[in-house]
Amino acid sequence: MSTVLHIDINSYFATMLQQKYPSLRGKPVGIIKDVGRTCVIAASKEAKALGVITGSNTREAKLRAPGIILQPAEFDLYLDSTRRLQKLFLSIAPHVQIYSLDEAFIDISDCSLIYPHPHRLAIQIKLHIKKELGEWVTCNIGISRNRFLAKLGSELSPKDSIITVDKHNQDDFLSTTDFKSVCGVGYRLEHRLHALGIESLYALNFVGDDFLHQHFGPFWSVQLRRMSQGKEPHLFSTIDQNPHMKSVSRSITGYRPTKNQQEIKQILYNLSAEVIHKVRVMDLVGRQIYVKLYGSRHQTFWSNFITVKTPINHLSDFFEILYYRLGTHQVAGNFPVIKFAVRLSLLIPKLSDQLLPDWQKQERLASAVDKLWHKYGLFSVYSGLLGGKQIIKPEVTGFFGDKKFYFG
Amino acid sequence: MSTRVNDRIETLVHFKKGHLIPLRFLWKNHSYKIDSLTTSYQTRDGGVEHLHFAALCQGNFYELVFTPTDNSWFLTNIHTQ
Repeated sequence: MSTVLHIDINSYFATMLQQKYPSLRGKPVGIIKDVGRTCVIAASKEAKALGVITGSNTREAKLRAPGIILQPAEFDLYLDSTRRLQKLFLSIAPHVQIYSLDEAFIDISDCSLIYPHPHRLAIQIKLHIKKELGEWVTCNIGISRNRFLAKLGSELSPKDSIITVDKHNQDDFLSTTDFKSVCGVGYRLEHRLHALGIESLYALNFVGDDFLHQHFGPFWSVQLRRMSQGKEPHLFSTIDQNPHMKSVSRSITGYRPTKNQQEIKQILYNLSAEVIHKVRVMDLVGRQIYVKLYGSRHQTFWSNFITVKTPINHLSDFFEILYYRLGTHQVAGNFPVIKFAVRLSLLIPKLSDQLLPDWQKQERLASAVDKLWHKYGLFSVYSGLLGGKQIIKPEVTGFFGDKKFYFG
Repeated sequence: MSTRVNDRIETLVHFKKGHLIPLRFLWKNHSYKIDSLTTSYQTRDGGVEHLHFAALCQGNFYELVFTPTDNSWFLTNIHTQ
């Protein structure tokens, strides 16, 4: 019999700052990326209770919660806390998956002799988390026979609680869960299900396989059926199967729109350097290069991508393609850009070096930079192209898309 | 009110079960007794590791950073109520 625990730290970004700064405790706090930013990327329990939601702008947040305190995120604190949580969870059982910055699964199926009462273990875990991260930090723990139900349980239960989803209450959960709360069901799928009068996962049990196949196709009909029966959908198995990252991307929203070609070039080069560094550290190479520039006006953007034959992992190759071959240099300056995104995808493990002298020369340079960055820190040396510019350094996200880079 | 400083300090430390716990620090000829630590975390920039401590002293809040490579302690931020 499988037993999985899903641990979800409540309002992680805000809670960790309330732990650090006691004066913030019990108050509505909105987390912004940095001073001067206008997007609330996370909110405290108190702010959420007043209706502040992630993604709202600071003006909306102040209207909903007039006394809200806007606090810049501290990504180093979050990342180290997640590392400590991972260490703690690995001391409990060997099968731990860090799902996002504030969520993890612990599979205790092989430890039933050590932990015969999962609920008691969950109580112990909550105490250990408080001891490790601080007394203000609370979490939800869902216990079930698979990750899907454990996560569903912890997400639907009240803050700071432990919930067990078993055969007796599984149908209650599936029938009262709206699709918004279901991991893997996006907005469009939810909309299509509602249009057919299907309001919960449990309701899917009252429609036939043919009906699902007809409306949702061969993939989603199977996934929806699995979820309606409380089985893990495909999404969770992809976590097990993916031995390396498929793509590495980086985006940033500027403080103000810019049409300055040199500034746009510098920002794209800076982001490209980070992407290539991560790809190289993970010993990968990629073939698809993507760039996107977002305008300050609603729905104004430009993007382009190319798939090259030979996989690359050198900054000079990547940036030459991204900036010149994709035509970014011709577009830069045509409209005010507020957000920048670059990506290297179709990643595969690097199997061998190339023999071309030019490639070898670039590799020697890249290896030297790698060594310097490893010893003295990221961007301890950098191209003259970035001279006079404030360096944009890496930062983690809540979804933790680059967790394989940070946790291997 | 928050004030960013970057002053070298002297610190009295307790080593306990592999953890390093600052108890008191000396800044500008004044000794500050740490009443409690609200959080601590580690950062790494290349090969250089830093240990960050958030300390409460008589209602005020101080951020201390220890760098093991050169055994240096710095006071980086002060938040007064």
